[in-house]
Order: sequence, then C-alpha cells, then structure tokens
Amino acid sequence: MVKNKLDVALLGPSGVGKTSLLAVMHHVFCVTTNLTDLTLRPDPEAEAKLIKHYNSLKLLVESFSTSGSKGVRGTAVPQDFEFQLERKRRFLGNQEPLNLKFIDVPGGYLSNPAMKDKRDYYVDLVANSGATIIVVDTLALMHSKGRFNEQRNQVKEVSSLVKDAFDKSSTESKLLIFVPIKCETALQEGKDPQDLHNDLKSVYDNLLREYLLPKALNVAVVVTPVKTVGSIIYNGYEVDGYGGIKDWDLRKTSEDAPMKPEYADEPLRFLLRFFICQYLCRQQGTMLGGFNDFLGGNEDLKEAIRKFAAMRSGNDVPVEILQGHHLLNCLK
Amino acid sequence: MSNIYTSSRGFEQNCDYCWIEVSQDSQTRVSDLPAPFDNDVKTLVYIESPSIALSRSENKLFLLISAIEPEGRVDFAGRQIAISVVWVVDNSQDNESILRMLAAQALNDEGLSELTKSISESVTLGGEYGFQCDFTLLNALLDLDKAKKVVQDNPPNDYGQTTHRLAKLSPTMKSKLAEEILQFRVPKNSSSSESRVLLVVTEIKKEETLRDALVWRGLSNLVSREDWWTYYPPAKPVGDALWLLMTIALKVNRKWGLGFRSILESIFLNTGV
Repeated sequence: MVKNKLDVALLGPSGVGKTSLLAVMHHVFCVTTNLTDLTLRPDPEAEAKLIKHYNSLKLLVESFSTSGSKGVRGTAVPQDFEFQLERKRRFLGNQEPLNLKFIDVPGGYLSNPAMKDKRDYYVDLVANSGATIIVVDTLALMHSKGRFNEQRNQVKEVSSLVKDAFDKSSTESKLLIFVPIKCETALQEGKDPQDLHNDLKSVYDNLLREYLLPKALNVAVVVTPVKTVGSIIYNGYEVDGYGGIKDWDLRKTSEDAPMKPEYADEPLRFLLRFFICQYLCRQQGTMLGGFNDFLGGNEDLKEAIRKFAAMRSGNDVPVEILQGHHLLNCLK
Repeated sequence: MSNIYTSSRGFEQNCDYCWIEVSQDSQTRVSDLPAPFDNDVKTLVYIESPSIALSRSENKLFLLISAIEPEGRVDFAGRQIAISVVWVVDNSQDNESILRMLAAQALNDEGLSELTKSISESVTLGGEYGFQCDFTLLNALLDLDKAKKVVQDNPPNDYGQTTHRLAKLSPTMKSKLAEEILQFRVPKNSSSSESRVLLVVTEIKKEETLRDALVWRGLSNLVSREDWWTYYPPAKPVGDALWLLMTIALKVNRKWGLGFRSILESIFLNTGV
C-alpha cells in the first residue's frame, strides 16, 4: 500500500450490486465526514459517474411498478473512483491529502473460465488494495435456506479469489468488509439482524475461520449491511428450467415509497478508521511524524476515529467486527 | 482491409462485457484493443455511456461508437445490455470519408437510431462469449458509395477548423460537430509516426484530460463552456493566456492575428492540415 493512499476493491459477481452500493455510499459521504474536521473531495469524473448511477437507481425505484427494466446498466470495464481526504486544520506544515480510491470491476471477471486473464487481474487488484468490499446479495444468501446462494453470490469463487490475493500480499495490513445488500426484507421490523450475520458467517465459514482468523493480526474483517434502496422488499421468486433462480419478484413497501437507503455510511466509517490508523502508525514510525504527533498535529485524525467508532444515539445499525479490532482503533 | 472489434455481454451471469475481434472466419476474445487506440479509449472515453472516438495513427484510422442500446436486450438481472463497435481501417481519404460519415451519423438521434438497428442485427445474443457478431453486416456499414454522397472533401482551411476546440456536450454542439465533419476533412498527422486523437464525444471526461491528449474536437459534460472554445496545448493557465492573446490579436487585426496564430501553432502544435 502506497503512503497516504488507500485503494478499495469492490468484489462480487456480476449483477450483485457493486456499483449501486458505491453510488449509495457516495451519496452520504459528505454527511459522514461532516461529523469530523475532514472533507472528502471527489474527482469530478468520479462524482459525475456516481451521481449519474444514483439518479438512475432513484428513477428505477420511483418507476418500479411501471418500468420493465429491473436494473441499472452493468459495468463494462474497470472504473476508478478517486477521492481526496482533506484536513481542515493544519497544525504543522503542509499536510498532504490522503487519497482514497474505489475500483469497480465487471463481476464476470470473477469466475468465467474463458476469462482467466481477467481473473488474474482481479486477484492482483485485491492483492494490491488495502481494503476490499465483498458485496453480498442477501436475498440469495437467506432465502430458502440459501438454495440460490451459490448461483448468485458465487461464494466459492469469491473465497478462492480472496485467498489467492491475500497469499500474494500476506505481510500487509488489510481490511475486508462484507456488505450484505438487498437486505431490506431481512432487516424489516420484528426480524433479528443476527440471523443475517449468522447466515453470512455460516456460508463463508471456510474463508472466515480457516483462512482469515489465523491472520487476525494483519487482517480486520467487518460485516455491515446496507439497505441500498430501502423501499423494495421480497415478494416471491421465479425458478428457471434448471431449478435455479430466474428472477426475484419484488414489490415496493407502498406505491409512492421513495428511495430511502439506510446504513450507507457504515462502510465508509470503517474504511476511514482503518485508513487513518494505518496513516498514524506510519507517521509514528518516523522522527518528524512522531514529533508532529507529540505536538498534537494529528488530533483531527484521532478525533475522527473516535467519532466514526462512537455509537450513535438510537443506533440500531447491525454492524459487527469479526476480527482485527486493533486495526480499526489504534488510539491508546 | 478493416479490422472490427465489438464489446458486449451475454444474458448469463458470467458472460460479462469483453472485447472480441471479429473476422469473416472467427471471433476471438482480446484483452485490449490494438495500440495506440486502446490507450485512447481507456483514458479519453467513458465507455459506459454513448460515446464516439476517432483517431489516426501512422497508417490506420480508428472509430469507436460505444454504448449502443438495443431495445429489450437485457441480461439475467434485467439490466440493459450495451454494444460498442470499433472499426480499424487503412489510413486513406476514402476510409476517412466513411468514418466521418459514421461518426456524424452517431451524432444525431435519427442516425444513431439507424445505427442501433443495424448494429443490434449484427451483434446478437448467443455463442461462446454470450454474444456473437456478423462480420459481413458490420463491414457493410463501411459504405463508400453512401459516404461519397453525404461527405464533402473540403480542406479544413479556416481558423476555427484547424485549431483544437472543446465544448460542453449538448444536442446543439453535436449537431454543429456533425455538420463540420461532413463538410470538412479532419486534420492529418504532422509526422507519419505520430498518432492523433481527432474527435472525442463522451459524457463524462475532464477538460484537462482532453487537453492533455491534444484532442482536435472534444465534447464532454465536464467542459465548462457551452460553445466551442479554442485551446492551446500548454497546460492551464499558459494555454488560456495564449488563447486570450490570440482572441485579442484577431479582434485588433485579423491578418496579424492569423500570423500570430501560425507562429504559435508552429511552436506548440507542429501540425499540418
């Protein structure tokens, strides 16, 4: 990982919702960083692309009952989305901005045997990224005891790719965030959010317990569900001729229900906690950085970690840190 | 001799977007488009939305028309499937006319609708990669007889036509650009080994990126000015200062202005037309 920079790879099969998650996360970036003395400034192209995707998603939700199309167009080529984390307070000298880059990849690169070179690219991308977000289709994960889970979430391919990538960069600190989306039904009132977590841990048991747990010193793992649209829930499903899922039958919670994402700020909170901790550790390892830290030059970053880690009042966000707490909270 | 490449995806979940090279006898997946055009596409085109790019290398001409959306063609998740097509042809005046005709066609709604129909008939679902292409139909779009009827071969000899210009993407500017490339030839390269990006029309691309690539004509939503403005290759603010000086010189005395312009171009552009 290059100094002052965190690359975040988005990982998941085609159609799982990687770009939509990023667009919804981006929509609340300002709200999230406004809690602190930090500003997340987007590259104009990144901002324009994510706003365009968010608006398409919003339009899709608004016209849900009348539109024939069920999804926003898929990603055709890898796309970078760059942001600069700027510090409002300058204590000592000119503090360089911290760069955060999300990389969105066509999900077909994951498992198509005819595209081995693309899978190799994906492995290198995850290996060279400090953080990886694994996007999970919650409907497929939980419905009918996970009958359609392998088909839609491709757990074996995702796990295998993570292992191949982490084996290539075993000494570096990493953050792995599982983000179950399409979880509006699973997190409806009256349902226990822990069921979602249990199902996720169960299907990724091999990756989590056998591969990642022994790496807990270097790898933090988090689960943080996001309701990307908020107002569309499960209504049934249609099976194809081979017994697989053909299509989910979804419905809006009410005819005029607007798009209302929830928990979309959580992945960014974890990313920034990890990023800042990594930055502070590197700073403290140098004489000038240590001196700067001693004089309070990093108080803004430390305060940001505290605020991102703090519980919110009335908070019912079903997040869980599975391992690597020390990589997300380096304050003593 | 033409080489044709298409990008699309199949219905199935794993048949994601990829480029295939299409010939009369075979269809082969390729990781990248041929150099130097692959880099032009990666750095200058937002391929997820309808875009056009026209480039010229040492001995080839390149045209990309991206994100053609055939009605009703969706993938397993109900998402619109898009098609992009690239033609790489020998660098000749006839071929230039054909590519100018196709680019102009893609710039207006009616022409794009015709192209969408033709391309969706040429690129269909099925085959090894989830989509398959008919070389004969795609090659037939390179219609010289039709190009001779609609394209004129006037040399670009006026001030506005020989200089680099950018504008914000809009129906008006697309229409102006279509008219220009139908009437006038596009600039030649200054040396035989050089490659040159002639035209980029894309939804999301920064003005600086188009300037850095010395794009002759560029339209993007991220360019601030609504109408054409001429830029000079040196980075801001030097390039903008030169543009201002040029504008003033032309207002004061057109002859002096044109003389000043030719000096600047010989220094910064070193390109003939």
